[in-house]
Amino acid sequence: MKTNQMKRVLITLDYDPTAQKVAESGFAMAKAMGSEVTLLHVMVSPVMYASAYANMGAWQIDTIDTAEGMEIIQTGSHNLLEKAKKHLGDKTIKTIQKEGDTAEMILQTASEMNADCIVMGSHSQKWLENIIMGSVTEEVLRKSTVPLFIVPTKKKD
Amino acid sequence: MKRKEKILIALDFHPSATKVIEAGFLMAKKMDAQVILLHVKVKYINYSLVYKKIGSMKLESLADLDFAAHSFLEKSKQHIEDGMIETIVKEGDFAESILKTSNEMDVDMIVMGSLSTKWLEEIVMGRVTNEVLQQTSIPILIIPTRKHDKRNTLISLEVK
Repeated sequence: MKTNQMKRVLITLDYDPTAQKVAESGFAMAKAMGSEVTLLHVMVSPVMYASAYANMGAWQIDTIDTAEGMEIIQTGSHNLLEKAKKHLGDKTIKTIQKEGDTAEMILQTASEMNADCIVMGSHSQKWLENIIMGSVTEEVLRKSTVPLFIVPTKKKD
Repeated sequence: MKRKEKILIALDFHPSATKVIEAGFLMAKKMDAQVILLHVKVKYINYSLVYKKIGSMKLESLADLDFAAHSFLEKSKQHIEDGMIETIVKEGDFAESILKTSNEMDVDMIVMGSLSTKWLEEIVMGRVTNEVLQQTSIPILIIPTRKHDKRNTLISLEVK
């Protein structure tokens, strides 16, 4: 029996509290498949962050000033990825930060790194759905040419 | 003893069914999981609604589907003997049958093709109010099965 391996798995994370579950499930699957793991966080513009996470309390951006806001976001994004990496306890994990449209960046990164599977949460950006045009998960689902591993992330989890 | 993990593979129609089965089977093999093949028989009218966009979905495709599943199972006989593969046929609503079976069988992962995702979008986005759908907490692996895919043989499994 001969198989083509799933060599590279791209796990996409956001600031939602469920990101940990997405990271854990995706990582477990990747390990079972013997895959290399890359964690991705896509940063959107400060204005969107401000409106999206306004209700979250902890993640509060007072300034809409783009340069300053972006700096905060970059640091936050970096911390998120490093924290996730530490939590998973695997030093071989790669991390990537991108800026731009979430779905587009996910697909672009997957293509750049020649990923064999994309992992993401199902809740995906309910706020984004309202703010922009459609769910990120839905868009990736529609355009992806590689398998997508969707981790259910409901509020009660 | 650790409980053996279970993977439910929801069968699409021909020709993508084979691809979905293969991907799911590879995953199951790596995870040393038990495979449950689910074939949901949908009424003709439902099929034509769901697959309207892809053109000529004919009733005979059901036979193709059976054939795809059957031939794969033939190739994987040793695993059937191992009790690694279980097949289930249900009739009714696609989404509901998959989720109901998943819950009943306590599966750890659902594998399916992307052409069946019209209803999946609904699950993912939480638009479906059905209680069964609300309660699912099982990861889903979606295999792209569109015709234009360049890497449509991404995961291939050859049984010799």
